[in-house]
Amino acid sequence: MIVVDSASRRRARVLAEPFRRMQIPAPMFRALVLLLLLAAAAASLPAAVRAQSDENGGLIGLVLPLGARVVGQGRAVAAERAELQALPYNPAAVVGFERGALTYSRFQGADLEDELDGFNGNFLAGAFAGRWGTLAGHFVFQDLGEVLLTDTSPDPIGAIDLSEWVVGLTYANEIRDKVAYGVTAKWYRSDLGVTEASGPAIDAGVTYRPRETVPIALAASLRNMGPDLEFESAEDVGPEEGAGEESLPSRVRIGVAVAPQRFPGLPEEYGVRLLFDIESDLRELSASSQHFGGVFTIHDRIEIRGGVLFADNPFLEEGDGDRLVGGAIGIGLRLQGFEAEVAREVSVSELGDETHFGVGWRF
Amino acid sequence: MSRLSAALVLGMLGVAVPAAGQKLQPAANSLVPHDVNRAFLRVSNRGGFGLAVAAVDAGNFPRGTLNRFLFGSGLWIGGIGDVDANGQPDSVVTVGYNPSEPEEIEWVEGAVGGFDRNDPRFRVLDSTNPDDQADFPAMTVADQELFTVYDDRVSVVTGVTPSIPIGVEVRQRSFAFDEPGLDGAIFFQWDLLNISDLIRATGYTIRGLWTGIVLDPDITVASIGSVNDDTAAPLDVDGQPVLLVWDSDFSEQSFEGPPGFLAIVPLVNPGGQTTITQLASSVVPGVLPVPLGDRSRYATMAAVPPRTPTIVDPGFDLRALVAWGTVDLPEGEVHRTAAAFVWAEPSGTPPALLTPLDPDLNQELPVLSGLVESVRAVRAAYDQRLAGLPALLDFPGEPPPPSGGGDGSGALLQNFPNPFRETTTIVYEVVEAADVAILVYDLQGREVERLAEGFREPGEYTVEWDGRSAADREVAAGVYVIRMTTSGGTSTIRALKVP
Repeated sequence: MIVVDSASRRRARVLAEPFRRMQIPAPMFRALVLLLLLAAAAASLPAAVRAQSDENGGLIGLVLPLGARVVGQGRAVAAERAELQALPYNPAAVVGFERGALTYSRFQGADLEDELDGFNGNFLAGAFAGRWGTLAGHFVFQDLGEVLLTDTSPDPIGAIDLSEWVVGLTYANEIRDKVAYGVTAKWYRSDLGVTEASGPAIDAGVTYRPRETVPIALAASLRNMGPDLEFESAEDVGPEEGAGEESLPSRVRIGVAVAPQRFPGLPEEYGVRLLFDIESDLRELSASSQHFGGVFTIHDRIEIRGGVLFADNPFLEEGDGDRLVGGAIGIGLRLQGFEAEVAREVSVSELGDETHFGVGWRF
Repeated sequence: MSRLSAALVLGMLGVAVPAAGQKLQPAANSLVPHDVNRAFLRVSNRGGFGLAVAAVDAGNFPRGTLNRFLFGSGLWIGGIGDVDANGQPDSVVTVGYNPSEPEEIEWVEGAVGGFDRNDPRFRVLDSTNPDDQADFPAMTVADQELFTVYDDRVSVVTGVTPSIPIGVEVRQRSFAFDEPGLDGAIFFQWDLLNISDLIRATGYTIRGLWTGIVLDPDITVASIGSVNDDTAAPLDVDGQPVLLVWDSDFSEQSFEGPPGFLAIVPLVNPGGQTTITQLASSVVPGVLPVPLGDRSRYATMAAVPPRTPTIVDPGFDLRALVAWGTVDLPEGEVHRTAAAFVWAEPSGTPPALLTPLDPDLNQELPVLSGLVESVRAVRAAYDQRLAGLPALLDFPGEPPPPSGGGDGSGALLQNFPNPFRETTTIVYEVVEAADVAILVYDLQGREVERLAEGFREPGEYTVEWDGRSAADREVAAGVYVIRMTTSGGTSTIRALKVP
């Protein structure tokens, strides 16, 4: 039996006061609190309980961050609406366009300070909306750079280029303006030079918005669901070398977005949107990352983003620096449908900070 | 005595000059201990066709001389010192060590690609370029000079064949004179510095160093398949061998040049050996197949050891190799070598068919008399005017640090084997005693494992990675970054784990 004293009740009322001002109904408030509690519980689980299976160091193209807007707000995007860059995180996020949109985003990987180029990623997507719903497609190309080949000594005997790409087709729609859903069918290919694999995968997601007047949205998605990839050896390596299976980095993500039409204390021309996502590895739910993001809008022209993310490092033992903490900042400009963003993620990668650029057009 | 003064004196005396004082940076992928031998310096023409300049002097080097036709005809001769009308280096000096060559012919593509004047591996100064004159050495002795430095101290990946630096720096000067008798010649002088101590913890002697020139006229495409074209043969001029090239028209696609002879003349050869080799298409039995259309043909040629002079039917596309040597180049010392390209018109009417198989092709042939005289003039001019030039050890502007990792305190060598499935070995060198940490990261920048950590005395160390994380779980297939951190900086390599 839980006993709550009167002081605690008063503290709870004080904490809840801003949400009352935003006229958030009680059920939504409870759902929000539940999400926060789930996130906190996942974050506090000891690492020893976490991953018992291999970590996906490979198949990187399915998990590297995509989209300058996504990165700028700490990768908290699952509950976004009409956001093409959120497509890889929640297919339902593409619902809400008047007619459609195009977007392209690129990032240059951390400067590895070696003689080889750093890796880079490219994300291209487009969506078209109609009475039948929204149809979207996207293409991801990750250039993983070159790797020198060696055999019995450090003397290189050659070099290979590595890359991964994903192509996907998405259908999304809404039910009674409250529930948006989306499904992405995609094909994935990993070329590791001496071995390669390709296969299908599915993403699916839903977003729930109780009413037009309620400034909150809840979202959940599953991504990278599919059979294990079977790597096949290239012709010029031994029959055993490079062959094997890798499971897809399947993820489950839930998110919430709070976007009041008018934020307390701010003039009408300023807007604020707050988001929170938590994502876990489906094979080990306790290995998770938490994403907090905020978007500050000025005259619907300038968007200033910021975010913080926390992530478990499943490679390390508990307490041995196994929690990663990073931040992000971004700025975007909008003019007559055209968009441009730049974002920088700091301290997330121990190899160095990364900068993302993006352009887009909403029509 | 200043270092420059010492270099001047010693250079004039023909004494090897230590190259200390160059504060170059070591390469991330430097050598493992081994003896470098039979290394080649190769000066190669670009292999592509030239500018359609015809009889127009488009500013090619040397301006105002007959040799402009050599460039204009697609005969891009020389080395990185050649600059075309666009200011781009035409061709490259290639120095490298080919680890896959079983006979240890250490000659591999080392710096091909880009041809960018701003490429940090190349430093080019042109005495006639106003932008360069302030930096050009104030010892100009010819009507036009070009000064170029190329250093082979970082691994360069072109295609699938990376080079391994052997630690040689090449300081090249090109000279041209307007006066009659010399106005058809380009002189090349190379000072080779052994900078192996700058890319490894301890330097080494490069033994059996050859200097060579590869020539690829590629002239008269229309008559490819004819043995009348692109012919060459060894020629003896006053007891010293030169390579003679003949083309009946020196024409190429959109331009035409006069018929003429070209001689490649080794000028400085302390080793005393000269070989002249023809390389032709695979249709000629006994001659190395030379694939066309890509740069790999040079790598193929690199596998050919110097031969004794031979005369063969060149088939349809001639390439010719002149190599002279050999010398040993100890750590920190300098070796000078030189050669010239001499162009001359036929003296009188040449025979209708003049090929290397022609029994009349020798220095007694009247049509060669002009060329022979030019060869003699070039040799004399080199001995009198250029041979005594000091080694250019103080090139203005230090070379930029290599883009790769590594610093004064250590270097991380490529893991082997790579790719790997279970275990891979990482060798790292510590030049100065320092705290060292070697960590493995995935491409998301997450720490995977710590392979080494702690204070290290100078020396070479080895660690193994079993493909498992710090949490003792096997990591998935993919690329992992291995980074060595010392007090002086970082050095990184990429390891590929396969399923």
